[in-house]
Amino acid sequence: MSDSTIPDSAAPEHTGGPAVLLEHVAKRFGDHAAIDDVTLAIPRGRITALLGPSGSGKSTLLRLITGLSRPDAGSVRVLGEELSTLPRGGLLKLRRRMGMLFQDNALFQSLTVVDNVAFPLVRVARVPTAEAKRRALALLEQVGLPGLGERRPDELSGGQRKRVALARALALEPEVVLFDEPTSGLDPQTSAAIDALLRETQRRLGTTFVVITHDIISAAAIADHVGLLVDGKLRAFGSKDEVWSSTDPQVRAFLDRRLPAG
Amino acid sequence: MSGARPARSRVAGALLDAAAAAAFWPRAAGATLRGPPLVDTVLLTLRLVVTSVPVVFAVTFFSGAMLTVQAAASLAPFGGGALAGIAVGFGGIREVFPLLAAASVAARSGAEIASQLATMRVTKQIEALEVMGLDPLRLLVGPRIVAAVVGTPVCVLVGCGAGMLGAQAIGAWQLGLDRGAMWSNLWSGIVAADLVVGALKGLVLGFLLGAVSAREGLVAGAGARGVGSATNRAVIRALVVVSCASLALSSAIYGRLAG
Amino acid sequence: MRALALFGRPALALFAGAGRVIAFAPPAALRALGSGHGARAAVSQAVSIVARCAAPVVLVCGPIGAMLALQGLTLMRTFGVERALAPLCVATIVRELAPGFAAVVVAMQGGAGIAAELGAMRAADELDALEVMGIDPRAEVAGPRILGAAVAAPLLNGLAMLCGVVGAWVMAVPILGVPNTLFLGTALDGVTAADVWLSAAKTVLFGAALGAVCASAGFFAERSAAGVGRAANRAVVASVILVLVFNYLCNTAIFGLRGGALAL
Repeated sequence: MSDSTIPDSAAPEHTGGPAVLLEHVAKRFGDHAAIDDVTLAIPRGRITALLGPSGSGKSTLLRLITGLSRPDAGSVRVLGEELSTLPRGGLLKLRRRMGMLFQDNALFQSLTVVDNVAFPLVRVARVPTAEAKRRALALLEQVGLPGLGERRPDELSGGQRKRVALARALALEPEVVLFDEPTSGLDPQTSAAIDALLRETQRRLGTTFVVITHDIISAAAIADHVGLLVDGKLRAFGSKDEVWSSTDPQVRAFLDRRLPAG
Repeated sequence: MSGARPARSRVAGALLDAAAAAAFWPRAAGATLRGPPLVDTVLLTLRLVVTSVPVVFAVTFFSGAMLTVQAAASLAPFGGGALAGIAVGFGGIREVFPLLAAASVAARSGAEIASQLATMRVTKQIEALEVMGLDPLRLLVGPRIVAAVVGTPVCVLVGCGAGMLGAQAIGAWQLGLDRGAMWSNLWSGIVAADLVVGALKGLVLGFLLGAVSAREGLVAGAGARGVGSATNRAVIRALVVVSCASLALSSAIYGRLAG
Repeated sequence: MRALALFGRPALALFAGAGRVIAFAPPAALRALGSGHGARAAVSQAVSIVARCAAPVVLVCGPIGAMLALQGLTLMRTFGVERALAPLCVATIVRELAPGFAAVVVAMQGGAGIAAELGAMRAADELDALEVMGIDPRAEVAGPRILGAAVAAPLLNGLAMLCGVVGAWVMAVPILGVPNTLFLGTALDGVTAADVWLSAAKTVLFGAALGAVCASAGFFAERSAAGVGRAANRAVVASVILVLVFNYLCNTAIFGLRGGALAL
């Protein structure tokens, strides 16, 4: 991949370097190259959307950034720490500075909504239970779910579950929050509401958000920066306007097929 | 006081559920009699036998061995080795090996029946059949019941043989008993009718474990969690039903002889 | 060559599976034991396993005790040693049937439940969610369940002994007409306190082993509904076989390689 696909705007805009820095990362599953020589710098304090069709390696990329899987080649640096040389204890510590929303939310089915949000506070930050519960209720209020704390996750709608997952991911005040397909399986109206919530939350907290999605409408609504991943390769990366006006045929093929005309 | 009401309603709920589960048995039998698809039935029967036989063999072989070590130790005051062989052969063939064989089929194949049907339920394949106007009971449950009814007696007989081999192996090699005498002691309390009874018990236990497992699979809850707990419920309920039915059959068949 | 492939592949899978359990379970259990939270969670897991297994233990071990008395009496009357019935029943139940079947019930109810629950947590990314929070899911969810099974199994073994003996009494005395005084008077002749303790010790081992097998089956389940079902199925089969093999090995260790008492 030529360097021209990584425009200068991807350079760090805040002090302390990029939030996430991938260099020549590759990951194979058998004969299939899920991630093929990806180099990428995700700026701090912004929403970066990594777009791509299903099977393009987006989820694999997210697992590499969280250290849930290890790259076959290349280096992954998150918040300045090189993951491959980090011992397990260091990795667990680093993850406490990251939050993640899983595609299917991964809420603990055995816990109530408020206990889900309080869980990382109690178990990771060692906040006393009563205080953790109070803060969890405040977080639930911030994501627009007042009064639902005592329900079980499976008693909520898809959009409500997503909000709970966001509250839980924000509980430890992470520096980076990763989102795996935050709008998949939601109807357009709920998707738009979640997009607005993400945008509003990010502006309020100034946290780095990395959003993996195949939903161009959602990416257009929330992202400051956009990367396009096709067949495990990064085809474009830059500010949203730069990518949206790209003349690269593969980029255009993906965008024009999915962006509504007009 | 506060705990009494939920406990009572839990018991009531469990009894209602047990009744609903038992009400499925005649439906399963009916579905089986409506003529299950031939190819599926043959393949599933073969699969049940092939996958269950190794489990049955391992379980009964080691139980035969275990019973022999135990019986030799505790029967020593009453005549030791000879009586141990007779007791293991007698109790093993009549009760322990058929029961353990059926329990092993329940664990291996009953759980598989439940987990397959639960997966089909959770991924809406069963609704898809119904929408096409097909009868999921006849197509899916029937062949599995036939497989269990045909396969379990085979497994019971295999289990009886494996249990005797386990007892003989331990008697001869580990306890140092005379090989010929051990083998004839093992079989001395047994008549051909006992093996026939074992196979007949296998038929009934096979039907029950197949029906119990199929029912738990069909009523699975949503998602991966639903499939997991359906498999769990199937295996434990099949074990309970098989144990109780085994006692009922034994009492009916042997009870009069003992009294 | 073909025979090698036929037996070699399952054998390899068996060794790989055993290796995975050994690498996975002991650190998980130790780490859970090392943290106050893990130890508390282990207690609540043990309580939940006992609660879920108590009814099946009663329903399985009662009939088995009754069956033992029925067949035992048939045999004993033939040999004219009716007075040996109660000691034989009680000894067999305490030493073998109670620990064996208690462990089988714990495997089928508790163990399959552990595999199904961890499998579902794997499929729903709940285990990954713990990882991402910086919590080790092995110590958090797997360890307490392994410890819980090890604690619950001997308690259920006690219940199984009681039910088995009651089942045998019901069959022998009211139904088959063995004199009550004979049954009760000779019941404890065949067992010593050491038998009960050995039986309990065996079940701690069985519980830990089946907890380890079932927890790793669930922990490494495929991420799908079908995968969770398969994990629970595999866990049950592996732990039932494991329990019986362990039981035989324990007996051999306890009674000696050449049957100890036979030397009399």
